[in-house]
Amino acid sequence: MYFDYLNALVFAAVGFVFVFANLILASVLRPKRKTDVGLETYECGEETIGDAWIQFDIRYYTVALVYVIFAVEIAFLFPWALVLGDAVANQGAAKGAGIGAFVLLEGVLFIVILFLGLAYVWAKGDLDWVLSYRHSTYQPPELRAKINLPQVKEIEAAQEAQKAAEPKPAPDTEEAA
Amino acid sequence: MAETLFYLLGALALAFAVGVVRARMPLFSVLSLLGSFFCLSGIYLLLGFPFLAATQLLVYAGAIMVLFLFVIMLLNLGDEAQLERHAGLSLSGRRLFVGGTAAALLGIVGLAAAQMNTTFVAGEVPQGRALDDLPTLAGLLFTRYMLPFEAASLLLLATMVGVIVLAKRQRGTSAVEAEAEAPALPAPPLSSGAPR
Amino acid sequence: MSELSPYLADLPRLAPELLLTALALIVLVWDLVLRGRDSRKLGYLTLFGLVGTGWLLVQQWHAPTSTAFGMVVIDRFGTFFKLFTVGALAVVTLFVLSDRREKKHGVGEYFFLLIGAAIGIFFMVSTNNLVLLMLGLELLSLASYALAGFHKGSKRSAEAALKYIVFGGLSAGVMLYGISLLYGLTGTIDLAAMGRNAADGSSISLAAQFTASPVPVAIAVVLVLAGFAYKISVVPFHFWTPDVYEGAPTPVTTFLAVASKAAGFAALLRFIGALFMAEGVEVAVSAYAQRIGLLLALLAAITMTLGNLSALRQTNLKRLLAYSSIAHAGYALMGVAVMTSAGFSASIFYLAAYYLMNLGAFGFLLFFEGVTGSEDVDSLKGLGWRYPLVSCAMVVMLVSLTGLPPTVGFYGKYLLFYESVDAGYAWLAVVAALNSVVSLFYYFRVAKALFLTTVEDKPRVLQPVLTGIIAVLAVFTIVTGLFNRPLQEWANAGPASLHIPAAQK
Repeated sequence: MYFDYLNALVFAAVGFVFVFANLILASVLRPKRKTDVGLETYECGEETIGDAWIQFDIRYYTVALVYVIFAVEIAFLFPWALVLGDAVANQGAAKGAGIGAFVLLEGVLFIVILFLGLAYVWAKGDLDWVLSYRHSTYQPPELRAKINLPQVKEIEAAQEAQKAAEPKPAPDTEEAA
Repeated sequence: MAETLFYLLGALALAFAVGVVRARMPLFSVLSLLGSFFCLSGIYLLLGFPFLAATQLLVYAGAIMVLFLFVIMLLNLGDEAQLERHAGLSLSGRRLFVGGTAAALLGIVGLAAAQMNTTFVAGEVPQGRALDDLPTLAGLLFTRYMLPFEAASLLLLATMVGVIVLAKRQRGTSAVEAEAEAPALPAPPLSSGAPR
Repeated sequence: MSELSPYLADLPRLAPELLLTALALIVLVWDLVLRGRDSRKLGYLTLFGLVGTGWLLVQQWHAPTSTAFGMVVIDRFGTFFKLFTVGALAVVTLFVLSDRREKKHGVGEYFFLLIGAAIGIFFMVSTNNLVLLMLGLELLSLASYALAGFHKGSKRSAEAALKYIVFGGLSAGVMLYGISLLYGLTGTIDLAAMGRNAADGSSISLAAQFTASPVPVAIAVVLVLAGFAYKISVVPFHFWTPDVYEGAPTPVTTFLAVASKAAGFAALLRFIGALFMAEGVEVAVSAYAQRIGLLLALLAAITMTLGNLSALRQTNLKRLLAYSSIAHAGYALMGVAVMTSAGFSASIFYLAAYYLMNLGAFGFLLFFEGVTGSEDVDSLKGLGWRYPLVSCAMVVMLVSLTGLPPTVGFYGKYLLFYESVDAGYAWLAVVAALNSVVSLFYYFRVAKALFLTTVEDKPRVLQPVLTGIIAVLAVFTIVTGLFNRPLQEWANAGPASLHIPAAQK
């Protein structure tokens, strides 16, 4: 019985090894040349502005929390789905006269109560990605306070200034050769 | 073989758990926790309960990890070093406290394990049935334990409402306005308000 | 329908719980329909539903003891606490409705979460099944976490919610670990079944396991007790209490301090009663029970001393009441620690007194916040002459909290002291008496601020509903103190329905 899931273990191990074996193999095989262009985040795309560590909006958090709750619901409903067919057919572990309708009702009640939660989240507007345009408190932009977003030009200017302050890095020897 | 695997997975889970506490970057903590969850899931498989293993992966490694990642990004915790000045105790003091507590808990568990002269019993499982028989579990859940089952749905509903209450801004404050109110970003205001 | 009939027949016995659940769902849906406008209607609906629930509970009080779904015990012990929970919740609802600072917050979810917490309490106080106990506890806790952080703008409220969640999660984990050990050791999660060996050998009694290996059993029980200790804020699990009580909105603080704490006590009484004291529990555990009793007595002494000494230094009335509630948890724990039927009765009586006087005291706090917008004891100065009725009622509460005659608090303390001396814990009674003297100082400071200062002429802020509630509670505090026989008989029904023999010492 312990080895029933040996295939799962082997699968996981192979997957794990596959990733690292490839990474190691690549690091052995690839040429090691450090150039300015090669070290950019995107070699042929936009230059990055600022840090990748930005503050996420709280809306992600709300959605993730609701997702957690429905994941827990799945954990409960899986046994339900498993036993429902048996119960209706009146056989297996859930054998018992007329238990099928009862089990069905239980599950439906469970789902209805959780569905109320979904309705709540929906009606309160937490599923709307753009929160401001639906609610009565919406104000046209000219009446709102100015939004203090970081200005692209300013950041670029600051970066330029920083670059100018730093000494130029010595050109890579390999490239020079 | 099974015993070896159990100890291997247990040791790995512990190592990952230590990693969660020790990692300097919160992101590495989350990844360590993920590793720990995977090891626990393997242990559940070894104990012959695939449903629990699958649930562990689905709920913890799936949903809760996503949540943790979002929270870390939400709080914008780059590095633990930034948190230092907010802490009351000194770093070594906290380490001593946490280490002491952990050692005490481990000691309690070890004491219980060492003194255990009895076998654990599991009376709820009918005789002659394996523990991994999910239909048996489901049959129990929907007959004898139907009340806790329904109570669980209420618990989840209350949690959902509580979460929304806690996560929501003040009523009537939309995302854009909240940002306009908060002088969080350092850039000076320019006359040309940039649209989002 | 042969296998179904028992379940269907059990449903009417859960009528109060079902009514509350329906009420919670209706409040939630109606709040969505109203879209946050005019949410006072929800408060009135909640009050209406609570009255109905109370009526159903009174019916159950007269019905014989029965069990629903094999895990919810409907007995006088549970019904007693359920009735008080409903009463406290009704008062808290009135507090919410008359909280002058609550207007700007949406209160729809407020009522839903309060009712949800009450359902959790209902399950907690009336179940022998540890799974359902844990679910009830979590329902109460999760609703309380959200309620504690209800004031979005306030940093203190956010801090309260966070501290509550972190400590609560930790203690729930500890308690679950203890429960899993208990289940593994005995093979059952039913408290009544843990007391004795099952006839078919499906479960082993805790006593048998205790003789085989005492340490794991002790650890399991202590871990579960730690979970309870958190809920009733007993030292050393009390750290969260002052901060959470201070940060939470005052009606929520009232709910946490009164209903939530009493529910924790009820579950603790049932747990200890079923494991160590019920009829048919084998003698092997009695020596162990004595040691648990000693542990609880020590905790009680430390808790009341620490609570009272910390309260002495407080200048904030809300924090002062928080520390005072820690001290009172210590007093109520005395009755549990003596491990006798009479001790349990005394504890239950004291909890009933605690309900009355703390509802009144927190109601006064709310009134006073509405007048001055501050929580400092110093800003109470002269209020006694401007609001004589409320202030006199508050003085009655303070007298009762101190434990002076002729109030219900005095009689409750008298019972507790008597029972602990009777059970051989004279030192505990001495400690408690000294503590009462200490508590006199800080309770008197509040009364002094109210009356012994000069009168200031300012326009009066009338809060008729609050005034009425506080006055009624004050009258109750005195009347139940003078005519305590009925309350005492109701409290005595508690240990009897837990199957604790009266003569056991």
